[in-house]
Amino acid sequence: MLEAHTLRKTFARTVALDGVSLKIGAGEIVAITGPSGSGKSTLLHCLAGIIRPDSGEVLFGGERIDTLGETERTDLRRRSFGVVFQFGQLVPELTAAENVALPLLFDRHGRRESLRAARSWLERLDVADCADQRPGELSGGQSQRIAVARALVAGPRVVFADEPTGALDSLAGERVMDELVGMARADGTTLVIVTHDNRVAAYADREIMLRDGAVAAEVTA
Amino acid sequence: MIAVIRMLARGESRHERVRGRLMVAGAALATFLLCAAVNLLQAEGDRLGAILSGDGNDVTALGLALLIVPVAAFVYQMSRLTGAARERRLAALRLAGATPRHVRLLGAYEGARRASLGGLTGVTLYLAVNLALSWVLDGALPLVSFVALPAVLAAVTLGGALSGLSPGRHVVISPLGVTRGVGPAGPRVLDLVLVVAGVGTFVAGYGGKGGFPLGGKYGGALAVVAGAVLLLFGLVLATAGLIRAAARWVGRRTRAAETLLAARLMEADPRSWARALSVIGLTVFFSSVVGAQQAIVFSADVPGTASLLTTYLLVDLALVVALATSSAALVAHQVEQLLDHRRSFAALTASGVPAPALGRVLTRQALIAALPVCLVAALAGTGIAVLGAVDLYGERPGAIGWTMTRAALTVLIGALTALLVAAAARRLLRRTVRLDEFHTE
Repeated sequence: MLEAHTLRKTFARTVALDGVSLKIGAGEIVAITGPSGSGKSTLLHCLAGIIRPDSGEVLFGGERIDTLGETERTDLRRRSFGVVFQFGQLVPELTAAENVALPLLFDRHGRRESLRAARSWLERLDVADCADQRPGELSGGQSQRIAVARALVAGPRVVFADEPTGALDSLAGERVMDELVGMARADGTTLVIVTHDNRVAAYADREIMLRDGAVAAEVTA
Repeated sequence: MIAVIRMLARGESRHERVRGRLMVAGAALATFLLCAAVNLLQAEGDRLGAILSGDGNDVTALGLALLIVPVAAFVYQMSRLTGAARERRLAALRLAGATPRHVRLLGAYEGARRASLGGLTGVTLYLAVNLALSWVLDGALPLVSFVALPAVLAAVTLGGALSGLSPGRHVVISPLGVTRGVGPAGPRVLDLVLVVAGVGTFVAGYGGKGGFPLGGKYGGALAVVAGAVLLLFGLVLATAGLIRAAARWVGRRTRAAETLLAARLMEADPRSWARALSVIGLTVFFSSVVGAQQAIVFSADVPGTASLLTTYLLVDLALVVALATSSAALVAHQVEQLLDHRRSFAALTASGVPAPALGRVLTRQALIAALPVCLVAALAGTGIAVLGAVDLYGERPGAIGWTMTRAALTVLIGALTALLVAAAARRLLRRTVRLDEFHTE
């Protein structure tokens, strides 16, 4: 489903990725772990087509995506990928339901249909009560579940989560992870999680440990 | 305190330095215009009498003084650029022991320093132009008084200091950081009071001609003028409410994600758009007034019509300058908006929302805000001018064509200005919305 071959990426003089190679199968849940500065987020951004590696290849479904133009990669992210960040990803001015409906609306789906789908996801994630509230009125855990709903609403084949529980307390974090992993398993969605938290990594089928921009170890659950 | 200010000035980022230079340039322009207005007024003995008799110099002086309004709006918008960085800096200072009073003083000092620097530049520039013109015109233009210059400089510096007193926007700066209020202050019912009072006074004065109960034989005319002035200020205050209502209406009906996002962003903070568009609204208002006046005066064949052409030309020129200056303020507003929303926009881009779609959000915001503001301003301006002129010269059906055309053109130019600024900001959008906003390592 998703492959990376000898990825290398530098920021100014800092080497973030130094020849990373990996393969992730369909429906697999993979955690990318490592100490701060080990290149976890950079790897996730390269896999998701958010940034391009300096060298190496990223393949999705057998097709290279690192050579695609910005427009093609954007379309790919909208149609096939979902992304969850640590915080700050919801538009504060939109209601929770509108935030979740955005990917569908940008894909030219009807307003009613998009909002209906959004509400249905909010129900699945047990935050239906927050549908008409704005992010500023929600707790961190509720906001993150809404972000999860937004990442899943368009039926992506892969969801990338960058420290999805980093800004939450352990209880809220656990709940978000339960739902994210539960939904991914139920729908057969591939999930790639970047985390430095062992409890989050424990949800994964496989853990890829990075150190100094290279794969240091792989552990299968 | 001075030592802290110097340290901060040394550590300014490139963007802050650019903002500072723009503020100095705005202050210089305001000083120049104020000096010109003072100089023209000096040329008259009985100023009030000259204004009432419609003397050209005083009308031009008034026009120049009024041009300070868009320049002030420009300086104000500039002062809001890089606000987030400044707020973080102030929060860090609070953590280091600065009191809220220190924070206000820092802002006032910064504003006064830049305003005085701009003021000195403006005075120097005006003195040079004044001397050159006096020499070319062989003394026809008097030299500006050396008493007036320090007064102008003091006024500009004071304005700068006052504008810097407030740390800015709807944020609370505490030692723990910068927090936004629950939500930006929305439009108030009070803002509509002036509109209602203005219309009421205008109608009472207009309808009660000859029999107006107050002010003797000029009572009716005074009520009409007072009503028009109240309506003008009321419209400026009500702009935020109008924008919010338009955004809410559009947001409830649209099917397009771009329009929904644009409408919701504006509904949440209509005041910033109102501030940016108020001068454009005023320009449209005055332009419509002038258009209706032109049409009626020329169709009425008033004696001395030819000499009015120069006056109207000057007024139109002043309106173009006002529009250009308010466009610059609008640019600053767009930059501020982009900086404010960069995280949300970056997240949307990472989720696969194409950059052109976000660009369309900007242009739709401009349309949703500018169209109603310009329409209402044109309607109010035309209405007041037509009623006043019909009272003086009688009904002139021949004047309707140009009045309506000019009003429509003015609305179009106002909305187009906002649209062009938004379209230009799309380039900036790509540079502002960077995906490394989410880069945690």
